[in-house]
Amino acid sequence: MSQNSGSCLEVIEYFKERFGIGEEFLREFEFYFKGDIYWIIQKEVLNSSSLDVYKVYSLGFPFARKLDKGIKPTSWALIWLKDKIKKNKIELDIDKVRELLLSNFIEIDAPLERGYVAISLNGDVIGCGFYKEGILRAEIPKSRRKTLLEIL
Amino acid sequence: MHRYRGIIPRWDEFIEISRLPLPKTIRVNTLKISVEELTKRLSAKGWKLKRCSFCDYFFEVECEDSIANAIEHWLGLYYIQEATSLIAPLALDPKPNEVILDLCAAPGGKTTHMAQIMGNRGLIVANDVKGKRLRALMANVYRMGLINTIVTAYSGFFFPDGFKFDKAIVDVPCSGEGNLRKDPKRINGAEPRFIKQISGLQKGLLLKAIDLVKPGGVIVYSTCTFAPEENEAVVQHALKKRDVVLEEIKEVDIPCCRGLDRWEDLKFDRKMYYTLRIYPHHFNSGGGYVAKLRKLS
Repeated sequence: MSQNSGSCLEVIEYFKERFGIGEEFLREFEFYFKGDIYWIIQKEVLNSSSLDVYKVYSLGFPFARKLDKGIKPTSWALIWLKDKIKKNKIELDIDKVRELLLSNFIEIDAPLERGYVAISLNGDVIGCGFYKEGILRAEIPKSRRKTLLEIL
Repeated sequence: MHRYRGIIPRWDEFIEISRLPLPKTIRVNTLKISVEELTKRLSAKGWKLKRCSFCDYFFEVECEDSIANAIEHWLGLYYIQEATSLIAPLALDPKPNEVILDLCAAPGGKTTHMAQIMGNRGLIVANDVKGKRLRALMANVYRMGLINTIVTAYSGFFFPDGFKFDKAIVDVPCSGEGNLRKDPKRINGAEPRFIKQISGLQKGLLLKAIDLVKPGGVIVYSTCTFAPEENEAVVQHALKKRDVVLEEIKEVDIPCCRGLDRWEDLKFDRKMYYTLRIYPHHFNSGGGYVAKLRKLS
């Protein structure tokens, strides 16, 4: 893995602006960039000389993806951040979640800004969605969707 | 399994419990939720939870539901784990400032447990071979929210030298006789030829783990089998080939048997007494073996 360290700031800025996550909280961690993924890790992991020795497959967990249009949060990140998310979070009932997972889109009426949102069920953040003009699209990875549907 | 009749105490009890399925057991992921919060939440679903005597974040669960098909599991609030597999990470006693190697890490029960003990600090290098097992390991690392862990995919024997770890855990591939409650066919015991074959692999992996640890560092060796050829004989080989000593496992107070001092024509080190043999009737679990070694130079 190679690091583009200058980009950490754009992740911090994005989560602060989009989800209201405290900057001080995010600054406690490192966001390691490889390919198009930002991985969240403890600072001491990067300080360890062990990293230079190995071919690393994953590092902490994927926190966000860098797309042409900007940053996309991962469902892993939103689940992990849970209560720290202060805005652009939508609570759905179980029927709506099922419908979303099955059809990929649902119509909703909610005070959300266009862009990525955290989807919540009974108070638990269950992953990422994309909201645009009254339509919510599921962005939860397909394999995770399948297991979630089995549970619901 | 009959060849162990002379070393497994209360044989009838052992056979009786071995025919019963394992209890449902979970480890609370305290990196994501407190024990109190999760137990309250699961109790509200009608689950009955009984706390483990030697690990206060581990529970036996009585419920009609599948514990794998629960939203709390999906969210990573708990890990489904068998009680015996708690012992090795507890014996290793990883500290938040240490660098730990988990040489055969998949599917991640021990890695995620160690990360929890370390409070998600320090560094764990979790290694396993590529493929399905590695994918399972990464999925569990992500689900449990580990941010002190990197995953590598080397064959254990070819794990790069150069960096020396504070501690290592090596939970080797084994004949799995201790899983007899998950797979009743195992009640017949493993094939001697297979045991002999895999014992060579285990010896190599343990030596490799020792070589990757700093002088003064600790190595915990574990299996889920009863075969002395895969347990004491492997540790004995390491004592002979490397400058290591066996240490008493003081971190865990569990009912168990001590390592053997002899088996058939093999004689083992006196300190093999420090190693632990866990049988299913000790605390209603699977079976396994744990040894703790310290590297001298």
